[in-house]
Amino acid sequence: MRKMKWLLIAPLTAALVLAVGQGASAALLAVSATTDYSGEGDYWDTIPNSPNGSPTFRVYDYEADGYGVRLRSRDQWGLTSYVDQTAGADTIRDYNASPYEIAIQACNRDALSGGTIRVFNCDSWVYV
Amino acid sequence: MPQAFETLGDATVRRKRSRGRTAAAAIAVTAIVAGGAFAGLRFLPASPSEPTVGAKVASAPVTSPEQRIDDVWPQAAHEMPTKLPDGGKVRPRAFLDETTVLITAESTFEKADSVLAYNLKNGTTRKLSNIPTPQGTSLFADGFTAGNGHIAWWTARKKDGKEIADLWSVPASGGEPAIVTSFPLPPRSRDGLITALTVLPDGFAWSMGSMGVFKVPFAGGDPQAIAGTQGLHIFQWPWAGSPGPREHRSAPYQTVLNVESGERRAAVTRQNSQPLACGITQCISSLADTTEAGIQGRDGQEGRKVSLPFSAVGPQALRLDRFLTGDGPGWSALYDIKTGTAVDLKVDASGVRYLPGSDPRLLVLPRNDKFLIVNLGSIP
Repeated sequence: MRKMKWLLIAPLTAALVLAVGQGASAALLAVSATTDYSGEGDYWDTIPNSPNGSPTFRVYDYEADGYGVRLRSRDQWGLTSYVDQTAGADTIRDYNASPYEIAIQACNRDALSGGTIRVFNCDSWVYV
Repeated sequence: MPQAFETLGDATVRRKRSRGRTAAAAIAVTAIVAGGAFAGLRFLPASPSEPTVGAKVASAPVTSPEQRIDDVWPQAAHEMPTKLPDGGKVRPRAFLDETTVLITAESTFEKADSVLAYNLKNGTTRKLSNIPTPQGTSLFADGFTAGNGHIAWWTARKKDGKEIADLWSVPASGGEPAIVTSFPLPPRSRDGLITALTVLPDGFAWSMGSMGVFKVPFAGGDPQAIAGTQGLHIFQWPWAGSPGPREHRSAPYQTVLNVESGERRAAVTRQNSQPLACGITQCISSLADTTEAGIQGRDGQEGRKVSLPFSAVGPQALRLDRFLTGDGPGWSALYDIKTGTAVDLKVDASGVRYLPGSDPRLLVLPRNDKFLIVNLGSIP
C-alpha cells in the first residue's frame, strides 16, 4: 500500500486570533497536541501560524507517489466537506477553514478512469 | 481582492448529503454555506515556496511593496507555461544556464517521464532524455538536479519487501539515462528520504533521512557516508546543516558544517529573537509579533537591524545568503537583505507554493496559469 505523504498544520495561534476577530461565534480551530500520523513520514503539526489571524491548514505533498491528498472536514452538524491538494509532489497548499469545522482528516486520493476518485489511507479524525 | 485559498466552507457544494436529512440539518447547511461564504471573503496569505511554517504577525499593518519584481529586476523574472503543447504538465527543476531551465514533463499525476530544456528567452523546449520507470516503482522520479555536465534524479522501487532507491544520471546535453547506484531507502520519516541531490565535480552527493550525507563517484559504486554528517542535510555544497529542510518549527540550517574542511558555524541571534532564515554566513532573526528583525553574521560580529516588509514570514533557508520571501494580505514578496530591496512577486491566489529544489538560484511561483521563474543568481 502506498503511504501517505502529506503534512497538515493546524495553527493554534491563528485560531485564537480568529476567535478574537470574529467574536464568540468563531470556533476555535486548534489541535491541542502534535500528533504523529501513523503513516511513514507524514504528520499533523500544531504550529503557530497566524499570518493575518485566520485559521489555515497546510497540506504538504512531499513524495512523487502518484497520489494527491484529500483534506476532509466535519462540522458540528455532522456534515462533511473536502478539498483536494493535487498540485503535485514538492508542493504545499493552504486552506482556509470556516468557523464551523470541528474535525479534520487527511487521506490519499487517486483519480481513476471515468472521473472516479478513490480515497484511501485516511488518517483518524483530529478534532480542532 | 482575490481569495488566496479554497476554503473548506467553499467545498460544501460538494458535500455528500445523506437521504432523509432533517430540517435542522437543512438549516445547518444554510448556516454552513453562509459561514463558508464569509470565510471565502477572508483573505489568507501563504508562505511562499518554502517548506517551513511558523509565520510571525506584524504588529502594524504592512502593505505590499510598491515595486514589482518584473520592473526592478527584469533580468531575473520570467514567465513560462505550466504545460507543454501536448498537454503534459511541466515542472521547473533547476537552471542549466542563465536562460535555460531544466524542466520535467509528466505523463500522469506526479509521473515525470521526460527531461527537457526550456529556453526562457524564446520559449522553445528541447527534449534531453526519457525517464525510465523500473518495474515495481513506488516513487516516481524526483530530486532533479543539474551541474558539472550531468543531470541526475532518483526513483524508488519495491523489491523483496524493501524500498530501493535508484540514482540516475544523463549527460546535460542529453542522451540515455543510466543508473549510477542503487541503495536501500531509510524508513520514511519527518527528515525525508533523499533530499538535496547535488552534482559535484567528481560525482553525486545527497542527504538521506537522518542518516547524513552520502557521495558516489560518476562511475558508480556503493554510496559512501561522509563521516560526521549524521543528522545533517545538504544545504549548499559543501555545507550541510541542521535542522533539515523539512523542519517546520524553526529555521533550517541554523548550524552548518563544511563537510570538506570540517568548519562548523552556528547561528548567532539577538536576545529574545528567533532565527527566521539562515544562510552560509549569516542569519536573520525576528522579535515575536513585530516586523523588526536583526541580521547577524555567524562569526558573531555586530549585526544590524532591519524592518521586514512582510506581515508574515516563515522560517526558511536564506537563499544565496541574502534572499527571503514572505507575505502580506493578498501578496507575496521577495526581500533582499543585502540591499534592503523588497519587490512584489505578483503571484496568483491559488495558494499553491513550490518547495525549493536543488538549485538555490531558482524560485518558482504560480502566476496566472503560468510559472514565475526567478533567477536569484542574476540579481546584482
